[in-house]
Amino acid sequence: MIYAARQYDTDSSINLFSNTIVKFMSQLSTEQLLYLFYTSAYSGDNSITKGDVKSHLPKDIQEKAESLYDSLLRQQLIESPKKSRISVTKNGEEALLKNLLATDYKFTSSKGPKVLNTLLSLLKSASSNIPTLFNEDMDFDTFVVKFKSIYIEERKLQAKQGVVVIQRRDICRKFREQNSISEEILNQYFHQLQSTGQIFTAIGRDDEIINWVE
Amino acid sequence: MPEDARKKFNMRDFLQQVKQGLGFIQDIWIEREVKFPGTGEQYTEAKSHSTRSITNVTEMLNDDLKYCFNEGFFTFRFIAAVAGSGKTALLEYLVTLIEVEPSYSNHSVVARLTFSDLLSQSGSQSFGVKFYSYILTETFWLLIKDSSNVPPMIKDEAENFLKRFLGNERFSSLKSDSEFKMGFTNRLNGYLAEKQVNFEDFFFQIINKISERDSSFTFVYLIDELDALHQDGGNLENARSLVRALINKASRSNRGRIRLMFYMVGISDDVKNFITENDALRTRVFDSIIMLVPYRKDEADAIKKRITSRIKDAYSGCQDFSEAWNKIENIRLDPGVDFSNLREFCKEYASRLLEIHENYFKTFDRDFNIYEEQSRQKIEVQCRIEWRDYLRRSEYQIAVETTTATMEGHAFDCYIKLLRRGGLIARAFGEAKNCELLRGHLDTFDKWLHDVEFQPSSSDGHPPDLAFMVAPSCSPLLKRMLELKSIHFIQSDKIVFSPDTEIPRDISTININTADQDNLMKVFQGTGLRNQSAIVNKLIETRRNKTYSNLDELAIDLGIRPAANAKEKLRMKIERGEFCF
Repeated sequence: MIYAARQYDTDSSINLFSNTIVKFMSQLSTEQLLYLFYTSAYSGDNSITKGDVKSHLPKDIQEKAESLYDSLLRQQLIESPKKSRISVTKNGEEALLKNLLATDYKFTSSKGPKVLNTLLSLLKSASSNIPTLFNEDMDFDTFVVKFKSIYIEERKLQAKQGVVVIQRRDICRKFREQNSISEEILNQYFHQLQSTGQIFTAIGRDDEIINWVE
Repeated sequence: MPEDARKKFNMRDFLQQVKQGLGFIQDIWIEREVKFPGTGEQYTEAKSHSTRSITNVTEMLNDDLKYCFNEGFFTFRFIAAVAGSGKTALLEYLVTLIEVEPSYSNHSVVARLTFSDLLSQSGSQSFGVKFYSYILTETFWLLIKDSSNVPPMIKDEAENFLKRFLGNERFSSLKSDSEFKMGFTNRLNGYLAEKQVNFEDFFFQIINKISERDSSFTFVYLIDELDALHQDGGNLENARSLVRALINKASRSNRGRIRLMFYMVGISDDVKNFITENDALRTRVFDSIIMLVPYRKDEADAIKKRITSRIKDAYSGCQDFSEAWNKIENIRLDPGVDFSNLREFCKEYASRLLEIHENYFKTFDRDFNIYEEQSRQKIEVQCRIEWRDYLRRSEYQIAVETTTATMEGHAFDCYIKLLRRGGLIARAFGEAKNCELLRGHLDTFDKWLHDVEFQPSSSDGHPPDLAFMVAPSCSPLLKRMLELKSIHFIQSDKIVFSPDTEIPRDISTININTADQDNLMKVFQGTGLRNQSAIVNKLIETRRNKTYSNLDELAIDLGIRPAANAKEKLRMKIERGEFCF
């Protein structure tokens, strides 16, 4: 993610600022992600009206369109150079790509060529940017520290609510939301955690349940 | 059966029980730490109902029992854990804690039920009707059955209540089945199905009626297998509403002062799903949950120690003990790899021990005869104390058998007679075990005592029979069970004369074949090797298939060159005793 920011900013002070923004923006809610995606997909001449974006959003989140716009604007993921027209910034494209790669969201209605073409274009962009998108340098020891910290926080939270069930899918998703790591490396490290006896999994009703060996 | 054969039989029996890994195994019971929810650590977590501090499972269960039985508050719990974590063991332990406390066991009914049994009840009634029919028939069975241990006035009250409800004729038919559970419950279920009453009200009415006669009487329902409800979404939702209504009613009944206890048990996923889908239920029960961890390493180690110390005590006098003990110490079970919960640990560890047990300890234990003799002396001293009022008089005398005495086909290690003018007036029986006492030892001895018509109570100036069990140690719970059966426990240290029973090893030395990851990291620290964490991981992988016995072999497998400085540093570490093979 840091490398990605460097592609666009050469000035080091801007770079530092941008890194912070990219880090912050990397965690988009599904609703923010959809807003950003539709802004990108339906932008005709590189820009689109807010009303147009709103009309493409699923009904249940249309009423939040204005607040979604505000939050993305604040994060500098979209911009509004002309009154009532908006477009996705470079940082926005970056965040869009990263969040699409990690999302579990499923469309519930058929989409037209603009959406499909945007996805294809993002796929192509992803294939050529994998090394810059993910920090493949994260070593196993760093992974263990970070993964355990997310595990502990999750365990605390769930225990206070009654029952602890830490599912593999959930915790891996959370890890990817907070860290840039490819799914392949994450899976490899996860298996390493198991084979070295640091965690063990039990078969749950929906997914494997993780426990830390203590 | 000769003593040695009997000892092997007992130990084999014990190990087989551990291997099955089912339910509460008293002989390997260990204290599990309990923490307040939200530590983030891998501990069993629960809050106490009373707000008194609890630090382990025994304290937690005793606190619940005190809260309900003594202080009279409604007590509701969910137990949640993944399979094999000890849920059923916890329930059975709770039942045992009630059984060993007469002020609880003589004033309660304790029903062990399962949701799968409940759902398999015949009939097409709603879930709510089935639920209450099931617990009502169980309750009345426990109150009315011929072998019921409830006080007669409680039994009368329950019978009168049922007589008024069913009518004399039906009640008489029901009574005719009071020795045969299935007949009784089927018949009562049938009668209840015809009644148009509110079963929830009916259930609370019987509790109130009994409480009027004995205010300390407590109703305990332990319901396992919550997962059975998940096979049918309709049942699930009905069960949620029913549990919520039950909690509401009990909590409002005399401001929660009702001696009623419910424990519901299920796998974590199901308990979570059961409570989170209904917020009104969740807010009522989220702080009543006992969340068991599958295991902690220290828990597995404690169980291991409870088993091996018995083996050591029982066989340390055998000639082949040293070799067998070495094999036992080398049993390696990696947590998270070889086992994922306490049940798997018990199964795997006991299987390995059984294999060793079958192949060793064939020679006679030289120490046991000495231990037996010493035990006879201790029992004689104790008999003289217990019968002192009689022995003060000259017509009473003691006669001690000098060897094993066989009666009714059972060989008692010790048999002492109290004679009055030469005639037998009372007897003392003793059994010596040179390892921590097992529940199986007690059960066998108790059966033998029954067969010889043991009479522990004195009446009309008649001296009582006495019974003793001698062992190096005995758990508090088992000691309590001995007391309830009028058997005295005599602690007697094991005497070890064999020179080969000492196991020479500095316990701080890290064994490369068995150490955990943290200790393995210590082995490679300071050797200058790069990427030590990868080396340790590789070692953990390779040692799954082999046991290392020297440095050369280890170095080759880990890619350490023969002339490397690191290898020399490892050699020095071995010489300094920092690690071994």
